[in-house]
Amino acid sequence: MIDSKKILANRPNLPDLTHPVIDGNYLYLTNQTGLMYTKINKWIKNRIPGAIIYGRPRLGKTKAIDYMMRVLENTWENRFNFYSMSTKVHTNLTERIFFEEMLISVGHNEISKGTVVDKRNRLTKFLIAKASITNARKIVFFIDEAQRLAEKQYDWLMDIYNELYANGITLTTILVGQPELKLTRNSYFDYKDMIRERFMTELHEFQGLLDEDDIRLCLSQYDGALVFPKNSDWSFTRYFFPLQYEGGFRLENYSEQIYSVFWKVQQQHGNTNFVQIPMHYFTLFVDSILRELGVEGDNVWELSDHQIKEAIIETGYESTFKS
Amino acid sequence: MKYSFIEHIKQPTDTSYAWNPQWIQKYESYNSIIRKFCFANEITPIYFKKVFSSDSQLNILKRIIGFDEEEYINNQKKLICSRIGTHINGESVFRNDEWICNKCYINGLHSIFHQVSIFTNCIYHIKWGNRRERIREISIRKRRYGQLSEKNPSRPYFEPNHSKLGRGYRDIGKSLDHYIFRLLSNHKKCISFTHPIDQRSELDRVKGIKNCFIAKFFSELLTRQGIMETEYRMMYPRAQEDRTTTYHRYVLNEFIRNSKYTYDTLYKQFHISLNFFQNSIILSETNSFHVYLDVFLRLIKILMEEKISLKLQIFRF
Repeated sequence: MIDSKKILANRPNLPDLTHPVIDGNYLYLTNQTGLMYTKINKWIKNRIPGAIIYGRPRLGKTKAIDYMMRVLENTWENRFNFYSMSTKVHTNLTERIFFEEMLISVGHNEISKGTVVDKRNRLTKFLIAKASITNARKIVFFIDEAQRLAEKQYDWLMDIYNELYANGITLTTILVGQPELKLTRNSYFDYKDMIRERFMTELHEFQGLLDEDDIRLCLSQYDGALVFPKNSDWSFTRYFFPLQYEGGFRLENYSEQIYSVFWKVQQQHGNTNFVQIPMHYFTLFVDSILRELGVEGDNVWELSDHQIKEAIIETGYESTFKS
Repeated sequence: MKYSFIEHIKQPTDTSYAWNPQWIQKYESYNSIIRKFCFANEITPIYFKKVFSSDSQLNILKRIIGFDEEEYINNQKKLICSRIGTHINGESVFRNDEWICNKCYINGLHSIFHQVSIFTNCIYHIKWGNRRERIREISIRKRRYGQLSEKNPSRPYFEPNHSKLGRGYRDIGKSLDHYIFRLLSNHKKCISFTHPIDQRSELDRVKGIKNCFIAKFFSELLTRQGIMETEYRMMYPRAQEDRTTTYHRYVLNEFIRNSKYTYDTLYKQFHISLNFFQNSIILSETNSFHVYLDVFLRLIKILMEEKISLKLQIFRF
């Protein structure tokens, strides 16, 4: 017999809109990030100067970088330095803008002071200083939206690479972007070998959720690993389905059902093979289930196909298919 | 690898300046450290002063480099004073004006030893028997950066100003060449240890002593204390009057004239001389000359102990 009063009384009393599910402010392991982690680790160990990770939009590449940064920092604590930046589009791209953005991305306090040369030196010295404290003297730089990088930006990056190399520091750049990045790499085969060999040695395709196993791993995180408040035992599922959770309700148990509903939606749009589910839509979908069907919503005890489908449609997932 | 993170937006940290604690050398002055900080972050000292003016900013700086100005200076002062004897007032041991060694400065070092008044040659570059690098005082007109230290006028050392100092230490050397240096020794006040004062021309006396790295110190001291006028007989006794004293005069004289002695020899010589003067009737316990000779002896001892660690480590990326 479930003592609902007691369970609800123990449930953390959080102020409105503070749970991470509300704003999606959380990160967790997926099969794809796990694969990406293994690849990056291998590249770092093999001292690969640069590699490309590409994938369709909305697959969760940016969040994967954020996740990687944290996990790699934990793994290689005090040995490597990890930084990330997102490439922006500028009508008139100058060296000054580029180095200012780099300085922002490494977290330097002095961004705009001085000439271009000052900024370049400031960046290099900063990286040298940080690397010189660590044992391995290595820096790993993630560059998001890398398909936007212009050729001259590669040249400036190469200058930094060379200067660091002259000081005994290895820079590994991991370019993350859309599939155009792969095309860029191919185009450099003809006339810019230096860029390709330095920044695009290895390739890895980042994908969304491919099968039921991928979905199961994600959902299991909501049931266990993702907890809020920090260090409590209130997993996301338990917080939003407290009574059901006591009775054995787990999102993980719905993996097969959720997979089949996604597949049905895809079939309705004319797909004959299962198409990878972008993480963006999947996360929105789970957030919606937790919010709308949990104790703060309809408080259902079982998830039906209809409810799952509605939650999928609400995320805008159908917009990924051609009408 | 099953990590999960809430609040994925990273919190800003204080480590947003380029700094490595290993860049600090032993006995390095605070302002020298700050100059390294400016150099590493490509900012000018003037800009540094502007940014790190508020208490909150100074606290950030303290977290980055590990200490604040007052704390560091006091520790350095204590360190030196503890080595040279507690009976000496620390203020009188340190110069009030900033002194630099050109060679050290080019390589990014200003040491507390450059401010110890007893040394007129750089202890990092002194090579007995060879050419020695003289420490020089920087023109007062070029000392705008010194304002940083005016908050605490009692500090034992501070740095000269140069607006380009944050640009790179190698450039500094070139700039410094244009500075007007004032020669350390005031030759008119020098005395010769080679002959009784009344038997040599002033020019000869200057020649005899100008390379002595303690010359100015002793000459000023002797003049200030009236020893040169009233008690020089102690320093230059007639041979026939006191053979033992003459011997010690000879020992000191040899040291002054010849710069080929090792630290060990110097130490021994001064030790013998000090013992002699301590036991002599002429110098009492409270006599300044005795006290300063003692200070000098202790400083030589520091050099002997530290001669390896004081080896200049060139700061560059």
